[in-house]
Amino acid sequence: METSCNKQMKDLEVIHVYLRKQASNCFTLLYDRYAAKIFSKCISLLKDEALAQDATQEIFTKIFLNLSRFEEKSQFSTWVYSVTYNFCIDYLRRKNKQDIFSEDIEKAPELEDDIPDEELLQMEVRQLRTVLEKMPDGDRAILLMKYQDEMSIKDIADMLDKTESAIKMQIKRAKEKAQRLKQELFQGAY
Amino acid sequence: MNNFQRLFEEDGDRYKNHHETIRQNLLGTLGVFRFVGQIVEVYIPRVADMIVSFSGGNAPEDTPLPPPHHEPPSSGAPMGPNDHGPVGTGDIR
Repeated sequence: METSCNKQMKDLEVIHVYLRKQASNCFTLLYDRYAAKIFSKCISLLKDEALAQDATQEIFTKIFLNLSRFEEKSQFSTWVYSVTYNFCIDYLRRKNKQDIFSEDIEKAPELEDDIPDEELLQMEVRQLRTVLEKMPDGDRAILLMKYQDEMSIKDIADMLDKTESAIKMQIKRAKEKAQRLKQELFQGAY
Repeated sequence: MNNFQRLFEEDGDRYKNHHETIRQNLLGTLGVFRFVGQIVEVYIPRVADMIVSFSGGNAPEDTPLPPPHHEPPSSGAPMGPNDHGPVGTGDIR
């Protein structure tokens, strides 16, 4: 029987050993695999290094205290990202004292004239960083879920407790805003 | 890998210096949680038993008192009049 974790082990094996033995090297292994990803996600959503540091610490604490509740219905990484998104979105909701995803999109009409994904995906990384920083919290979060984590519309809708058509509409509006911001900020570059 | 994912990777590398600080804080926090958990695990059943005893209930039978502590004999001699050591090979396990 294994007594500790090693780098060859998959996430689920590491979790099982950690839950049985509380071995610190299992903790270290999971931390090393996910710290950069969680921190990077937090800084994209919260736009503040100190906040992102505190958030990463709290998210990891939540993850390790709730490891036994991980039901293995999805990949561990998906669960980790959903904990991260929920934590950051809750923080932003509390900070803004309202839902960061607008309510009027609940009654969204059918989509027309949607901007093609290519226009967004061809933006330079440096430009994308600036554009995302200038975007409202909800729009930024939804674009990250869709294009960074490649989450399905259904998964985003489930996570945010919204309808799928509402999510599609919010993505459409966020893409329009991103496109507009890019033109305003980098017009001179073309 | 698209530009969003490249941004994600870049941010991961850019803020590497934060990770050790977070790890140390996290180990401290989880250590405290574990310590508190152990305290609760050990003492809460005893406190519950005490409350039951004070309220007139019987002490639970499944928590016997620990056996009295005897100093081991320094010379290997029996300790008292009723303690004669092993009688035969059957007593030695």
